[in-house]
Amino acid sequence: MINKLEAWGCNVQEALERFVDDADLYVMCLNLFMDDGSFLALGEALDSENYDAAFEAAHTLKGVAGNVSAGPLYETIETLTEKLRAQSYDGVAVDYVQLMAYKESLNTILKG
Amino acid sequence: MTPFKKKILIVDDQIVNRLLLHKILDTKYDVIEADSGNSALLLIREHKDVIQAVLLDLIMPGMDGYTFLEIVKADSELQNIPIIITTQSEGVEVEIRALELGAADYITKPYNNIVILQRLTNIIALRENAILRNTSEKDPLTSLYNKETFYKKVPEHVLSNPDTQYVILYMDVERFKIVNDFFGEKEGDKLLCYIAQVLADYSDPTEMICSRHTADIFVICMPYVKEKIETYVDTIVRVVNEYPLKFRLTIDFGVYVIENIEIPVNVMCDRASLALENVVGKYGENLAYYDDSHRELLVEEQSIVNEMTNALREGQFHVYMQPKFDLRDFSIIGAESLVRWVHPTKGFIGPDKFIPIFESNGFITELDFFVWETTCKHLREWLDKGYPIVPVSVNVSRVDIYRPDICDLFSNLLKKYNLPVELLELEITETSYTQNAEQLIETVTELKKIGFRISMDDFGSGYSSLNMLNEVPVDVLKVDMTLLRNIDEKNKSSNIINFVVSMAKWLNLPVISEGVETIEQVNFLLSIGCHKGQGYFFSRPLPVKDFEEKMLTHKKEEMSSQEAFSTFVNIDDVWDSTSQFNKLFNSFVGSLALYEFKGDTFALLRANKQFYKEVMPNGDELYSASANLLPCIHEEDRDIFIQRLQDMRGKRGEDTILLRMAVPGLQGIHWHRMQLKILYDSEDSVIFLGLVEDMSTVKSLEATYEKSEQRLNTLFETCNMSTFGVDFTNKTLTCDALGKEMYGFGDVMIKAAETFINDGFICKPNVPEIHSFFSGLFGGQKSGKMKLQCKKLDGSVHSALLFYKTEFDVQKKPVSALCVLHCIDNSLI
Repeated sequence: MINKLEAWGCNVQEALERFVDDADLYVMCLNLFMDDGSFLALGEALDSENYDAAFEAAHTLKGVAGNVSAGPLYETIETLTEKLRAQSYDGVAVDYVQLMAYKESLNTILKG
Repeated sequence: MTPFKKKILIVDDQIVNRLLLHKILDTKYDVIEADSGNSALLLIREHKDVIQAVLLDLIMPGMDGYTFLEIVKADSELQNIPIIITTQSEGVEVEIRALELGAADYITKPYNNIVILQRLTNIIALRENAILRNTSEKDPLTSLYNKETFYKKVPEHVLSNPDTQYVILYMDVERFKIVNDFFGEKEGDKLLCYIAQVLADYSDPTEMICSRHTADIFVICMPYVKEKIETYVDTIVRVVNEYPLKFRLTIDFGVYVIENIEIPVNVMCDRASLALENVVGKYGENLAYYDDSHRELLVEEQSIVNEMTNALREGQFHVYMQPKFDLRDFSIIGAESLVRWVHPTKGFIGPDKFIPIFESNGFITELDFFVWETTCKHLREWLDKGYPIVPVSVNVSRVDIYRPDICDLFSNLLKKYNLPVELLELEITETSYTQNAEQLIETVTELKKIGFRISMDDFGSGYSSLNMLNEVPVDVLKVDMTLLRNIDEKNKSSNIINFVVSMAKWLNLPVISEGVETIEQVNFLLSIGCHKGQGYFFSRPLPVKDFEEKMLTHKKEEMSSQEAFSTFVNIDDVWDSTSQFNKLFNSFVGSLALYEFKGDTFALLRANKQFYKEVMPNGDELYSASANLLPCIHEEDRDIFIQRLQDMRGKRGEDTILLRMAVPGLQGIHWHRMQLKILYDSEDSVIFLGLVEDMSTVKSLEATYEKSEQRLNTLFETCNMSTFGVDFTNKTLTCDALGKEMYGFGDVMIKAAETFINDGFICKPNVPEIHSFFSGLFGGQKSGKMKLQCKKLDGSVHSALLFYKTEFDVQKKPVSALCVLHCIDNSLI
């Protein structure tokens, strides 16, 4: 599992250092992250152009994504968060689709 | 038991963040979590006394971090708890806003474990220091609660937990003062801080209160669960003793179970400390509970305190006198004044009941003075009546030693009653030395200047130190009766007395034994050379009237000297020693050993640490094998050694013997200087006490010097050089064998120049030159040489070189010189 995550793009080494070498806890946290309601909340907020709520959700996701070193997923959510913070909303919908695609592929690895 | 961890509150709505932080902090801290501002507020209020820091996420649904911060910082009970916010490095505005609201610090996501742990450590330490500075609740040295805070917190705590019963645990480090004395106050303070840290680490802050009251007194309030208290006490003792100190710390605990919270906490503490008294000094016991018998004791003590002043005024205290005897002819040689309390309703109250109380409350100084003055009055009376008179000793308590006017008090008494100083003797106790050695030495020296004879009371009973005898200039040693008490049983204590008496004799101090109760004890004391004693065997303490009568009618009681001198010593006791004996023996600064001599064997029985360090590093093997040392002694010295051991016998003699020894486990021959003294002498064996010194270094230097001198002389001879020894004081020369043989010089040449000239050793006398040569030599010149023609005894003549070289000491005075006459005529070589 750890190898697969690494191949997918997670910075496993960095993450494990943070998780005091507890790989089980790390995987568990990744799973919990997948179930985070903020993914959904972010999509709904973007749809309804409620950018304050979108920023809050993105910001929350970014914090967790960083802690679990979720590689490409983290980079995408970071881009999205910064756009929302700067109130420049060009391409945020695309970013969100990309984010969800990364989430799905990561989820497949985790569930598989 | 493991140390209690500090509590940290994590507030974050994201479960992943909480799990992660929990994992990071888990090893060092006790972590509690909240997933919202609201639940965090509930938790922080519940645990406000124990939460050391909060890690707070700012953005949360419901009550966010900012609101939480605002509420906490506005609450006087919570505002001192440091809050660290967790952000996402999103610009300084967020951080500034949080810091403005009162956050102590911030950390950023993704988390860095090391940074988080370090920031927490810093913040907690900072806060602890701030508390210390800003409140007077804590003891500044150890930062535990001080006594006053403890008195305030205990009732609050007990009342707010009505379902739990609590105890006061009173804790004292035995002889802590010695730590200060040995290692200095700074070390002592360090140890106190360590102990405080141990208490803090192992006490559950939610249910226990720890405090330091004074010096080494720590008091703890904890729930009354016997097993828990025992585990706690054992843990504290164990962990405190992990502190690197050269000796084991004994810690005593007294427990008072709180039944009625109306009783003031200081009284509870007193009771716990009273319970503690029961285990002080007891080996293997360190915990005692307060019970009612303590209370009775306390009541009895209080009544003694209430009545003491009145009792003195009303004359309830009486001076009794116990005669001291010469053990050889049973003549009275002195007396000791003792105080007795005859109470109008309670009757006779034993001194053991009231003396310790008076010593602790200071009343002893008044009572002592009463005894001193009464004694002086009687002495005056006897002198006036022309009664037979002996010196009477009075006790000087350790409390008296601190009186700055003590010397004046005694001189005034002597003046007032016009008494010669010889009639009043003073007894001081050994314990004074442990408490304040300097003061004791000073006071004793002053009293001796006045002319008082001072005896050291209870010697060998307490913290005996033979080195003390070198420091405190006492005249007499008084051996404590408790050491004699068991003598009939297994002679356990005989060796202590024996040892004390032997040491005292070495130091030329007379010994008197108190508490002599049987004829066997008298015999024993005589057998070890102690000739004075007092005790019930001779006479109990008597009212002064009875003592006077005894003095007037006293006849020396007959007693066969044979009986008195019969040997009473069981040799087994020497190595069947008590720890007391060990203490005396081992505390001596030199190398001491006990040897047993049986005519054909000489075995090491035991030795002190110094001996094993300096003289026989492998001696403990010898000891266990009880090996005979005679074969180790150099053949040439062995018979003389045995002879001298035999010579000492029958005389209780002592001797100093220098001998060569092959020390097992060491290379080469060792020179031992043995100062031996007979302790016991029975028909088939003799026990010697030996002070041993390894003289090998000195001896080997001497040998080396001799050898090199010999070699040098041989060298000179083969080169046709005759040498002269130069004596600068007498201005003479001494000639070696070659010179005498070749030239016919005499042994000592008094006027060297004249001898050379007048006796015709020189063929072509150059008189001024030879004079200036020798005046240069004896005048302290560095070197000089001259050529000359010499005539040998056989008439032949040859050329020679005469030269000298002088050595000087640091003051540039000549100390030695080598003067050589070297034949350089080839035909003669």
